Amino acid sequence: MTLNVTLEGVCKSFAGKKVLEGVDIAVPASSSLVVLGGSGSGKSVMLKCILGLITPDSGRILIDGRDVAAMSRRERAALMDRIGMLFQNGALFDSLPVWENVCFKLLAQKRITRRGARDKAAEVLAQVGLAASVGDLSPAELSGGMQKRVALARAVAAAPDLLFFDEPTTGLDPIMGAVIDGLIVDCVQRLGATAISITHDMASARRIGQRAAMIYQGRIVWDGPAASLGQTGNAMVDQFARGEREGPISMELRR
Amino acid sequence: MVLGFLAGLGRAVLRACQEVGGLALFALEALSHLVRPPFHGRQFLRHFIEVAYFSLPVVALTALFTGMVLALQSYTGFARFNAQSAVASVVALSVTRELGPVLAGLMVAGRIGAAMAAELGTMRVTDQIDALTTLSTDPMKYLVAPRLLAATLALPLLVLVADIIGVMGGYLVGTAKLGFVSAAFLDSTWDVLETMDVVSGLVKAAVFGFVIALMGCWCGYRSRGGAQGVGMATTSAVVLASILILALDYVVTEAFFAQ
Repeated sequence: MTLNVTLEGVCKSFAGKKVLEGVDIAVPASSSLVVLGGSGSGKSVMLKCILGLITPDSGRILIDGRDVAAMSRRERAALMDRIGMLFQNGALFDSLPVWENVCFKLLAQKRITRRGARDKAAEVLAQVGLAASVGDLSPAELSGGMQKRVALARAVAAAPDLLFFDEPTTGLDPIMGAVIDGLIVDCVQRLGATAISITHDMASARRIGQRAAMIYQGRIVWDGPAASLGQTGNAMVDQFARGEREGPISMELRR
Repeated sequence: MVLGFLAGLGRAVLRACQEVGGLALFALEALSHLVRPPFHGRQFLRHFIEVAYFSLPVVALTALFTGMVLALQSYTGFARFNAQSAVASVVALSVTRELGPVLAGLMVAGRIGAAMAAELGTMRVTDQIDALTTLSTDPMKYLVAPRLLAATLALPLLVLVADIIGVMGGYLVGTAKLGFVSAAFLDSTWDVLETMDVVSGLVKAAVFGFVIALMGCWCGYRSRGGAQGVGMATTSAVVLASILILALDYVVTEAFFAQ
């Protein structure tokens, strides 16, 4: 059963600098939301708050109607079992071979034997278009695109109900970016999971999101269908989507 | 101006208290994971081999030359008092009680403490520690607890080897260069050594091993700011561990041998 996510007035500051200033958004179960925003707009902080890696200063984060902050350690661990995350730089463990990275969660929870994990890793690697032989390599031996695919394989290996993607195409060429987006869409559809992605890549946002939301100055300033990006009628979103210098965002930067 | 100075002093004291408190909580949390399942035996084994086996050459060489120099220095020094016959005893007592554990501790702090801080620091700045959390694995249990246990158990073994090699270094110089009779040198060594001499050195080693791993993990785990942050964490881990080794050496010596 997939999970829904709701953020209510989430605020977070670092050393007096307000990063999130009351984020409100709801992500229904089995839907795919893309959060857009410029560098430093608070996208990653929002994601880390949802994951419980950062504690918000105020506001509530509800997953399946339950306040994450009120969960016990055991409940939070149980929730983590149902979550998968693709980090911006992959965050693969250098000290482990690829196959062990892919099946890390299954091995840690003893849901699989080490012998079984090799077969499972080969199966999941095939789903992201990688040969089984890649499983024996170290993450350092992989190209950026391959690392992203291995990280995606690791995120989906335990069949999570809720998936997070942090800048999945950053640092990749356009073709590899499209390949990763396609794999993300395939994995999310196959699992029937709820997905929240953050990106500032418009092409990627249109490909992987059903809905899109834009975060600006720590607040959600727009949300709507991802297909409408570029002609939303919201000056900030349209400027961002078209990558134009002139507009409310650049006016803000000039001051 | 005086108020400004006092305010600065107060801030520094508060910051120091905060750091010490944070370190104590970090250590307690790590220790609590040693008695709460699940246990990561494979991680423990990996770090135990890293500390105990791969540190052996550097610790053995340090002990060998220390024993050799100690025999030579004490011989020339004791010659002024016609006390050359005490060389074997001095080498044995100094190596087992003091030089074995302290020098092994310092060498391991440089090698293992730095490596732990660099590895955890890199994991921190590349989101690998956050990734562990999202993979349903407690980073303290997976990364810190096995390292603490491995270093605490491995260092006494290393020091035991260092004790033997250090005394052997003294024996080599004593018999090959200073003209001691082999059997007499060994007899003096054996006669002077008491169980407590060796045990106190091994207890010191366990304490030093814990401190080295704790400082390596603590500095690495909290590192921030990319390559520079990892570099600073590595330096801090080695410096803090070295200072603590010397300070705790006194504390343990006092506990064992104070009259």
